Amino acid sequence: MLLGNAQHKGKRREQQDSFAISDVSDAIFVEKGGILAALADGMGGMSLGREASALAVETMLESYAAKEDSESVDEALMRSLSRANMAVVELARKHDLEGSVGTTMIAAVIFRGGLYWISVGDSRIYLCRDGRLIQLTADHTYASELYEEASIGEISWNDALLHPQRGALTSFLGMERIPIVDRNAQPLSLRDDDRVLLCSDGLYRGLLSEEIVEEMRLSPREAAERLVLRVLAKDLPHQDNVTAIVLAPMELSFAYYEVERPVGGMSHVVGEVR
Amino acid sequence: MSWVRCDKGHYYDDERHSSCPYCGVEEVSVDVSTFRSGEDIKASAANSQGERGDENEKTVRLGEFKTVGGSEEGETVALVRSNLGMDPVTGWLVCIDGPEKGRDFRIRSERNSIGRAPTNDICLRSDETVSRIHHAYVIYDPKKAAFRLQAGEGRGLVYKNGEEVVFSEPLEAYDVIELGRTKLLFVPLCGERFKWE
Repeated sequence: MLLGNAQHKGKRREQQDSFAISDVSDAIFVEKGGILAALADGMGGMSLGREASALAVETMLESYAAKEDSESVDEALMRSLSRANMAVVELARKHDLEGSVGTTMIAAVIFRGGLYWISVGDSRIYLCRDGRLIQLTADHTYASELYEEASIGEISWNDALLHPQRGALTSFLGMERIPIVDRNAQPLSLRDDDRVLLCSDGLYRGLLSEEIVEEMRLSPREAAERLVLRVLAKDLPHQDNVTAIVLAPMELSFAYYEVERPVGGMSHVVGEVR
Repeated sequence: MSWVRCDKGHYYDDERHSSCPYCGVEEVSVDVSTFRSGEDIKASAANSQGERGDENEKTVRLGEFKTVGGSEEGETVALVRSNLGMDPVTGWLVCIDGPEKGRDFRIRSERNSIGRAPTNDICLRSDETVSRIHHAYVIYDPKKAAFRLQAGEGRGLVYKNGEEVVFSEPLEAYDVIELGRTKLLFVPLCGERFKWE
């Protein structure tokens, strides 16, 4: 099992998280674009949060699938993100709710053993290596700005830590122009026992790094399921939607190796996934 | 276990779930009283499956196994599994009320545990009032081709048509099983009219 995913509504009335992973048995796609995983945490009244995140994830996958060999992975990710943003802006415009409907977006690609990512909002991508958890994305929340101001003495730490708007997103899909995008142009080269975790805030707000690391020792599939169960087991009062995707690189580079050989390549990849 | 990808890009175990558990179930309204007896549905299902049953009899050299198996008819399940290369469905539970409303769950041979954790055979992941593990069991007895509902080991009670199930009760088509906030309608495939051979 080279990948896992799990999701739960938490204590919310609606699931506003959306996620998708590209087809790992599609050898042609794997060769061109690797494996893409995308996760979005929607916001907005009525059902629009849910719609926004689903639309963003869908657009992200569709656009990325159009990647040609000449386009680099990071360019393709940026192009897909722009398309997803346009789709969400359009959705908000249709409901006269521009600026108040939106979604976070994180996407990770493992391509020939290298990791590429892109992020807007406060969903997170982690690298788990040698029992340590490394956060690859920054949170685009007002809190981050407040901490910066506090650290240079512009405001007091108390004001920063207690600000009522501290959880508000400062960058998300659904804005006319996205102010901050986290991404890497140079791939991070993965080791065989590395794990990549994509998650919504409902997961990382409820678990300690040590708890996440503990579950990441399992197979990606078990890890994703156990992470979600573990946060739910805490029975936190306002548990938000939880989504986790776990990717392992080893078999992916192996899959790519197999794909390069035309005979039997595809069926082998299918066998690995099942 | 078989790990498959749904149209929306979610991966799941299709032996545990008959449809992707991460895809939202569209709002549906189901009224149990509109199922008069369910005979029509049951008959057509049995007919269409009956033909396939005959086909299986031809291909799996059943007689041979039966003489080998002797009087131990209980072992036919194992034979069914190895002959068909799978653990075939024997019936369904359809959620008619609760967070999973509209979703169907497969019942297989022998004991099927119902609970909230994904390790259960029938996983009601969204109903937090259901015990994590083994809230109840639905049992298909391949020897008698009959179904039973058995209470689990947890604190949560299980009801059949509104009556508490203390130990175990036989299940008939269109009985309503209630656990937590969830109501499940029982729809058999196997029985007098059809059996996996």
